[in-house]
Amino acid sequence: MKAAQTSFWFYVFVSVLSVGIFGWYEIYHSGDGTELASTMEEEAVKRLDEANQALQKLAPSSEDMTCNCQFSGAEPNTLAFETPESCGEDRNYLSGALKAFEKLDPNGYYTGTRDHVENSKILPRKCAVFVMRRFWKDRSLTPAQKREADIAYNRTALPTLRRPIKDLKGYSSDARLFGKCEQNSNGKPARHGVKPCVTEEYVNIVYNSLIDVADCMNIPAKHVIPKLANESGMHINAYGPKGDGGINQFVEGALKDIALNFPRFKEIEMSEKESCKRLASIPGAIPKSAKEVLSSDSKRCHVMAAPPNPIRSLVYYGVFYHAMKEYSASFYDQGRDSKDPNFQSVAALLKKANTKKIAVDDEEVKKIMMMMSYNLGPARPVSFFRNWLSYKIANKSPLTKEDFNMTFDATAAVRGKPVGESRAKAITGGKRTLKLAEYVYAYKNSFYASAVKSEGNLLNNRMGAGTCAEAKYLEL
Amino acid sequence: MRRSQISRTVIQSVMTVLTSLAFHAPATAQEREPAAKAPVKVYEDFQKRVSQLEADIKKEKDVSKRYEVFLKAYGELSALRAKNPRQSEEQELNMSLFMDSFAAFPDKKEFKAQKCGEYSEKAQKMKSYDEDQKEPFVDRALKLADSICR
Repeated sequence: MKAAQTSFWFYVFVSVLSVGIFGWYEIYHSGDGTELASTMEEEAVKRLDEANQALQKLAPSSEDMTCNCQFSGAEPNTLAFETPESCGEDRNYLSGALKAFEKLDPNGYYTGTRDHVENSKILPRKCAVFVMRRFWKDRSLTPAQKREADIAYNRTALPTLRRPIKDLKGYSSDARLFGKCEQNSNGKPARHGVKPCVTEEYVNIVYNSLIDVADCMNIPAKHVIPKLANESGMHINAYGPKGDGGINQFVEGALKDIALNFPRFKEIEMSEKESCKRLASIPGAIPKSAKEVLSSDSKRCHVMAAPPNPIRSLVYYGVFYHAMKEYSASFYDQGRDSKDPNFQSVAALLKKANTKKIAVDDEEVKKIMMMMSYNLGPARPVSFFRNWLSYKIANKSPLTKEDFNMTFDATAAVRGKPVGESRAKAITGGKRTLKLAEYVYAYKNSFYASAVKSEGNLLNNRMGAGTCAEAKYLEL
Repeated sequence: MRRSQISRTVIQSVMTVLTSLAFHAPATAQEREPAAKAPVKVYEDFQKRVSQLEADIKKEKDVSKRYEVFLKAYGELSALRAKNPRQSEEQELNMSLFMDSFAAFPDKKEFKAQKCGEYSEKAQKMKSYDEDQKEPFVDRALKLADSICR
């Protein structure tokens, strides 16, 4: 105990002596004491500035790019941008459009890299990189190319892994899921089979546009990403087999509904939010009249050509999102039908079907209805839902949380059955009632919400739960 | 048997009857038994009535009278479903889609001829964005809505 006390006072003495000697040395060598204080202050400020500058330079590279994934040309479990060199010449066909974007966006709002810490609160940029890189194939192949690829693969593959080389007829052509449009074009896209190169500049334009639309128009980005992953892989020139176009895969009916909701565009122009101002600064992003929203299939470049897309298409989506939300809610909340005394509301049916009294959050169910409505139209999902509840009641099958989980993957045997009772029996084996996702697939051949749910599940598995998609996505 | 046992047995019996009634009471569309017990050809009857309605609407020249004809038939279609056992799911879905297409159409008191176009426009929300989703009963309902409001 005594030894410890001695040691303590000894250290105090040595410390005071050291500080004293150091202070005397500094004063002696710097002349005036005031000058010393001033110099130290300036030095401290200078060093802080340098540190901040270094931090700003470091910010983009210190961005979290981890994932549970592996892409070609990248370290395992790490996401990386592609480069024009790594992509090959044919995949750089959007470079001209991206340069044109720079001219329209002199402040670099969309082409530049933003503060990732701030933006990650809405959605991390790596989500866009993952979705864009994962979507479809880099190049759609013809049967001859596929056979050549198999032959090339077999040259180095182990004998047990070699692929059978078939006649050309044994290979099918890949779908060509992209389109080419001239800048600012409103024409029909030329179908193309090559995916754009996922460069940092391209990701920035898509990601920054989405972040601004999410912020300006109050869109929950993590609810939207699985939908975009399913529809277009967030590629601005995605072109579906039936003429669905752009990042949102808009079709004529949806674009007509957007035109019907034209007054909603005015809210963007009137908003004081910086994100709204940035959106409004891009020429062509916001239509001046409902007539400017072009819906016909022959004008699909309207929502695909860059610039002003993807901003225009995403702004349209913002309007569409709120319209769908309102429509779905109005059908869901309909309490009575004045001309029909036998009408049963969703609330009444839920009460009767929910004999085990599980917690059913109407807002979560509405999200499911809304997601279905992107494909089925605004009113049908609620009609299907009411019928499904009636079916559950008629079969005296109490609701469970699992009934609302939209995860559903039809087996080949189920897919092979025609829509109707036989498909329903193939799903359940006649031993239980159908879940909601199964019901709409069995009787209406609708798989859309389950496909989006599957993208949500994948994003949560690969990027971490709640990182890119809501943790409990399309389920209760 | 003791008095308490007797009264317990009586209460249990009453509860059983009441529970049973609660499950089978109402002939509403949603609580009906599954299709296997259906004695009436509801689906066929439903379609016949719709065909008749389509023909009747064509004959009427005044929009208010057409709407009266529609309301009468609509009520009958609803009652037909409510009073009979539940049909197969495909049939139920088809009939529901037809009925639900008229969700925006009000009862007689609230109906305004000049707003008929608006009601009909709202009915368009039953259309699917996916062209592969064919719904003949929705198409039929939308055609009828247009015919009422012509």
